Amino acid sequence: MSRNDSHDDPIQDYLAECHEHLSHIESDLLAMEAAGAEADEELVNRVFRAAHSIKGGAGFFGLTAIRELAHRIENVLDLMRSRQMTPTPEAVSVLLLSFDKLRDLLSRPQDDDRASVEEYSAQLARLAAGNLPGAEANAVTERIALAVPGRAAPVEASAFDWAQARKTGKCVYVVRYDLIHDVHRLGRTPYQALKRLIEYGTVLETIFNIESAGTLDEDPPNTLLLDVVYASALDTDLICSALDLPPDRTYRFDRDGTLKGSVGELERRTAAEERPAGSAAAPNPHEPPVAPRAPDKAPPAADPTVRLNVTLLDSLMTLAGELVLGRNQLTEAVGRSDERAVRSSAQRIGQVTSELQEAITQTRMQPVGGLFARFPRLVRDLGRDLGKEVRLEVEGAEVELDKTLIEGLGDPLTHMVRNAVDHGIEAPQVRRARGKPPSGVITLRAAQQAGQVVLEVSDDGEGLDGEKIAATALDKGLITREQSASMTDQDRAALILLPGLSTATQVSDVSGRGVGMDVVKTNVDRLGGKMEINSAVGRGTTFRIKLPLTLAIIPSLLVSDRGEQFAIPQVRVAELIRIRAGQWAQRIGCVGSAETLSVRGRLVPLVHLSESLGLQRDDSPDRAWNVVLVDAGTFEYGLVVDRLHETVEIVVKPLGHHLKGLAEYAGATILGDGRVAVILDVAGLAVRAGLSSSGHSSALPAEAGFAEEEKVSLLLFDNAPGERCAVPIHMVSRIERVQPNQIEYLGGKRTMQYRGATLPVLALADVASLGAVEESQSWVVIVFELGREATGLLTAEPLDIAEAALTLDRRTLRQPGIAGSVILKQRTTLMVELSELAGVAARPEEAEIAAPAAPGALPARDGKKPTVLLAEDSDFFRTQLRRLIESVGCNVLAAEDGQAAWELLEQHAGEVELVTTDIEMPRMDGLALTRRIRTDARFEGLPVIAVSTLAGEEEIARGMAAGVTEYQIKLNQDDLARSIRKAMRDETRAPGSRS
Amino acid sequence: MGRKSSSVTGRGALLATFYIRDALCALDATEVQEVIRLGPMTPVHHAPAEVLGIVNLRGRIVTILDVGRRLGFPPAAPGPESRVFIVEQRNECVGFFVDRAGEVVEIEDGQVEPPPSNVPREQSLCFRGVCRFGDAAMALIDLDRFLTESA
Repeated sequence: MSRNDSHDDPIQDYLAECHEHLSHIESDLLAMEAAGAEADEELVNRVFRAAHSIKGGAGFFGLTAIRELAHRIENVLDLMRSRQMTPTPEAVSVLLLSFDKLRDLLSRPQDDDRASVEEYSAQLARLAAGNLPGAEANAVTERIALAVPGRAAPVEASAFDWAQARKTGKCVYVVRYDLIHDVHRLGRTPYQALKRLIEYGTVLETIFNIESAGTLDEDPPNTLLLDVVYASALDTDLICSALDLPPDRTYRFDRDGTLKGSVGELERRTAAEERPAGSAAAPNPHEPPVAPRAPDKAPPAADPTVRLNVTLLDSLMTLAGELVLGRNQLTEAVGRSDERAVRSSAQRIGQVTSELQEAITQTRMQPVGGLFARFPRLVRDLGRDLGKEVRLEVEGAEVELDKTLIEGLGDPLTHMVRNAVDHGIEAPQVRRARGKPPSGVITLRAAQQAGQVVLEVSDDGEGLDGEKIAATALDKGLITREQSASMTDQDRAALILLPGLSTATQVSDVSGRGVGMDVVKTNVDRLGGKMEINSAVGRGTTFRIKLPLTLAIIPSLLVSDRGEQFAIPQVRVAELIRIRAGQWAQRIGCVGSAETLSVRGRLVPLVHLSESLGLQRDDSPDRAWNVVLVDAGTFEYGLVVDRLHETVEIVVKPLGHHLKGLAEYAGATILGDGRVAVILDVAGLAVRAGLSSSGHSSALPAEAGFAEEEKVSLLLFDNAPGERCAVPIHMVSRIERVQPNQIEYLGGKRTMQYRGATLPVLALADVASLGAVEESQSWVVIVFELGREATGLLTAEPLDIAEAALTLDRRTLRQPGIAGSVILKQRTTLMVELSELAGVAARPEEAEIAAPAAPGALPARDGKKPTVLLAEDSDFFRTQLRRLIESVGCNVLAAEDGQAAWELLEQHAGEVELVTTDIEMPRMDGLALTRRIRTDARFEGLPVIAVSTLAGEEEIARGMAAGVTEYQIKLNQDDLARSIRKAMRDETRAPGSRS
Repeated sequence: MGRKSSSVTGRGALLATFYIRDALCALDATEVQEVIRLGPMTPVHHAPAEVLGIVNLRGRIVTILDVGRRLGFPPAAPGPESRVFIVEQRNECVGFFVDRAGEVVEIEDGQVEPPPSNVPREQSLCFRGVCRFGDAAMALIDLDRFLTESA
């Protein structure tokens, strides 16, 4: 809970408010101009109050130029307000220009003492004077002196103000604030106190009472007095209570400017007149007011207290009482050696303990309002910095969230709000041009939709132009043309999560350069949430974070099958599909014995709920199929049920411990009719049904249970600060820690000396839209070998190692040099594609025909590249190997398992000259594939290289027995490239021979 | 066995008796919270065989166990006389499905004997003894053991 000091500075408050006041000024002035003499009084009043508030604060903070200008503006507006002057176009122009100047002055308060406003004040004074009868016209520039007790010099105020106040029948006071004591007494900042004044009247002048501050030789002053000349409609009897000030420090003036006395004196005088004798103990009016001593230290910034609902506190008390009772019973039972009583009290204590635990957990729930509280000021400050007019609206501040969620959401929300101000809301002139109010609205909304907390940050700004984003992403090579074409608007909006893709045409320092949305994504991921972006061009953008709340209440879809009801948590339900009786033959396909449903081009495996629960499935031909498309986390499948019912909010109850081991159930719930329904765990059910997630979005039933995902060891490093990247560690030959001055820039290339030679050093920023490594970071050059050449990659500490099953997200953050992203150690990590990186970096010199020209590449025969069939189930390795084989100069036919490979091989029987296959694969493994090739006459002599992470003697022997030509370890790229070349050459020389 | 026979101390204990198929069994009456009729029950597929299903007992989900199944009898057949004895253990309510409820009887200490040696092992494991009641023999179910072994 660190607080930004500048935000605590009251002047920041003031400036933010001025900005808010100014945000409507232009439109209001223009409306006044349009209405002319008929101008709405309320409208003029609003503008007047704005000028007045600005003036009041400026006086308080000693911003003389601002005060002077605001004062002059106020004079003119006051005349308009009292219909002594018409808002003519000329007058409004002067006002507009003056307000512009005011805005300019307010943006640089530190320069106030050097600023000159003479030109403007003169114009305004002329304007005011021109509308007043002769005698009063002079008042515009004249000042009157008011003698106030406790000051040597009289307090001065503008004669014009005085006259205007008098005209409207107001009382004029000098209000004396003690900035030290009153502030503590009232619990307000001086500026807040000042604002209160403005609410009840008009501040004519504010003057610090310098004499009260004492001199350096004296003890530090106990008082710091501020005299405010003040006009208010409130009479003596009300003014003090309205302002919360002691009557003895509020002085009232007569019509002629002479002091009538302090309000306290006046009241006593009145009281004495009414009640002549003996009312005792009227305090001496000249006695200084007794003020509480100021505490020695300011309170600590973080609030160590927690607010609790009284009901919750009561229940805690009740439970504590129960616990005491239980303890007493236990003590007594132990004393009597009554085993049964001991057991029963132990049981009771156990129960109370768990209830207590639950209740205490409840105390962690905090209203989200606390989290939202920081944003109004942030928005105002940012809006001011960016010259935008932004208003923040907050909804659902009372929604309660777990403390950890609140803490985790701070950064992502801040970032999104910053983004909304910076990139979302347009500049006021743009908004006006688009027919929108010049001031934009950002809405922060929290809602608890049963099982989820939904947080929204929406703005009514320009929205995300999906086309434009896609085009930019395309330009930067972040997506392909095909990808772009197949994207939905939402997909396109999601592209802004790409680093380096900022939607603002002007870069500002407020929300960085598009960097940081990945921080948002990572944080939200970590909290188990989902992010959605909805946007309409010209109408605004909504960022939505959905957080699963481990609340006991979740919205669920009720379904029934074979007469039994089941609940499926709504978060798992992606879509409901109904296939009418008789139509299912068209829509359902079969892969082997497994049924699949085609959903918009994807094949989704189907699971019959009845079958997976061991019940007889209903196959009657007149039965309609209801398919619930469910999201099992890493893949989706269709759950076939008899009937779909409504979505209801259900209370999750745990199953007893006899049923704990059943992964297909997430618990049970009691339905409206009192019956119990079990809640399905769709991931667990998939396991029961024999589905696996082996890498594909719509996984097919695996033949032998689950293919274990292969793990890769990765070296993690930073690129620009905060940009986490990784490379497979087997690609790395050395890690060199370097000083920036060790890197040389020669002939437009970055190099360094390495083992007596010059090592070309690449940086991710060269090819990818990522930041550059900064000098403040600790530089590291990762040396890797591509082909036979060593190349360096400039990165930065901290370095780290991780082992991960690589299920790369190849879409969101894909760009040249970056294969995709993966969450490692709770951070979004970019997987660097070294070969691509080197390739792209080298492109300017070496023509695109790269492959045949690459070192050691095979010469194309008859202008045709040889074809290699690649069978590999891991996306990651398949891409790696494809690149490797292509770099050797071959075409690649890739298959994701042995079965697919076999089918491809049959289709391309004449073409394939080499097979490289993984061993562990679903459906048909590499050994089976090899055996099949070896037993088919068509493929006699076809070399098969097994590429596997399994490389024990035994595995190799088994591979050889199956008929592989050579057995390679997956991560040794050089050896693999060599054996591919060797196999191809061998084959061209003597088909059929084995090496 | 007789491990727990000392807990039935002094002047005796109250037993809640019931029939599992035709066998008379009993639980310590203090262990039984209530006896209910079997209402609508929800089956739990893939659950252990002794789990008949789950029911709603005033907002709590209660697992109904087929005590007979556990003791090696054929699966229960709920009928008009069948009842559920609700017992609480480890903060969880569990229902014992019985074919018929019997009386609550008082027995003297010393009436409890170890189970005869011809009682099948899976049954004797759940008994803490047998007790003569009139001319019938009654098996005392050891709740702890019964629930622990089955969990």
